Amino acid sequence: MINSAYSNEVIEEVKQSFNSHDMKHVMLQSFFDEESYSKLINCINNCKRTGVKIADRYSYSLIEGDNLSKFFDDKLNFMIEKIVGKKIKEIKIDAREFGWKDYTLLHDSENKDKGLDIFLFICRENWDYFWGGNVVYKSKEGKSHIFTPVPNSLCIVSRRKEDMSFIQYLNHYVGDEKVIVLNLKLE
Amino acid sequence: MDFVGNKPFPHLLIENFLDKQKAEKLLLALKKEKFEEKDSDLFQFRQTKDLHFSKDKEIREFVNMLESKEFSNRIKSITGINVKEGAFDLSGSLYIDTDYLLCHDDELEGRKIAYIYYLCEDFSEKDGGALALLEDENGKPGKVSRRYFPKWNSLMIFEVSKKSWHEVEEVIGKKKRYAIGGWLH
Repeated sequence: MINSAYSNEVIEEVKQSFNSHDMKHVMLQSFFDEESYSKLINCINNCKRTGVKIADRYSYSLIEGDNLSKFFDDKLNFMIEKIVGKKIKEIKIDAREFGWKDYTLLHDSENKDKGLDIFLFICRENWDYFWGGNVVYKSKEGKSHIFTPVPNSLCIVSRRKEDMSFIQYLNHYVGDEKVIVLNLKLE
Repeated sequence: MDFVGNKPFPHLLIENFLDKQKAEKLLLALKKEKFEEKDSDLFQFRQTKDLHFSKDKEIREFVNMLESKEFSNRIKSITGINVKEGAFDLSGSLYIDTDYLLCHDDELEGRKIAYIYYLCEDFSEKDGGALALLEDENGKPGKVSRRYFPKWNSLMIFEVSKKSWHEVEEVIGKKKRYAIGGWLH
């Protein structure tokens, strides 16, 4: 399921890359093998979507993806454990789809504790930064780190205390394109 | 004119606010000001510095008009809200293609009335850029209740409160949405 290119040696390099940033992070491109990624897309295309919006907080479609967890097995847990150096018990999936006019906003009530964010992008090739839909992390000092969607890419981010993130507003140039952000929530 | 009775919260659009020639001169002056790009999770647009400090004659005249007793009295008579003479913020704003300001309530200590004076050609549905006013549903923003597309030489005023949910919808296309705005205290 996970791309076989992610061998133990490669994972060791990924770990070094992850640890080399102030805000530890890494993006694993071509994360699933092609067949698994196609199956994941097919599975998601059949999932029910529900639009959710509280205008001063967020606007997106929630994907009912109970059957998506089969794509994220123990191998993934082991891989993440090796990269971040922490034990992972269980992963739950939270899938959100963003199209034109969608966004999430930073909010005072948001959890500002440190933690681990893991998410997979599902979108078309050559997503344009200018369309929006980028995942933006802001530190308390105002520095930002931006993840522009790349299909089949798994991002791992170690949030420090006071780091917060939002999904940038998607403008009209996105047309009918959508980006799905699959959040892997650690239990 | 029914400021208080307008839904979803007290507001009013005053058309033909300035003499036509004055408005045209003011727009030319505003275009000469330096606009800086602003962006955050909530917005993307361009803004001038505080126009109180502008040295331009036309802008100074506009500031003097807002500072006048006549203006604060006019606002009081329209809104019933006791604004302080000469106490206001003001800056120029410019929204171009893809710029937006997402939903918020503007509430901050001292702000009584928000104002936006439009100095752009008339916008319509295809241009975006509408000021949308949203209903309040138990302390949260609900549905869009009214939408006002920018109209040349018109002044929008609304009462600032925990319920004054509003947004500027994304501008689409080539029209430039120039305005001067701020808050009366």
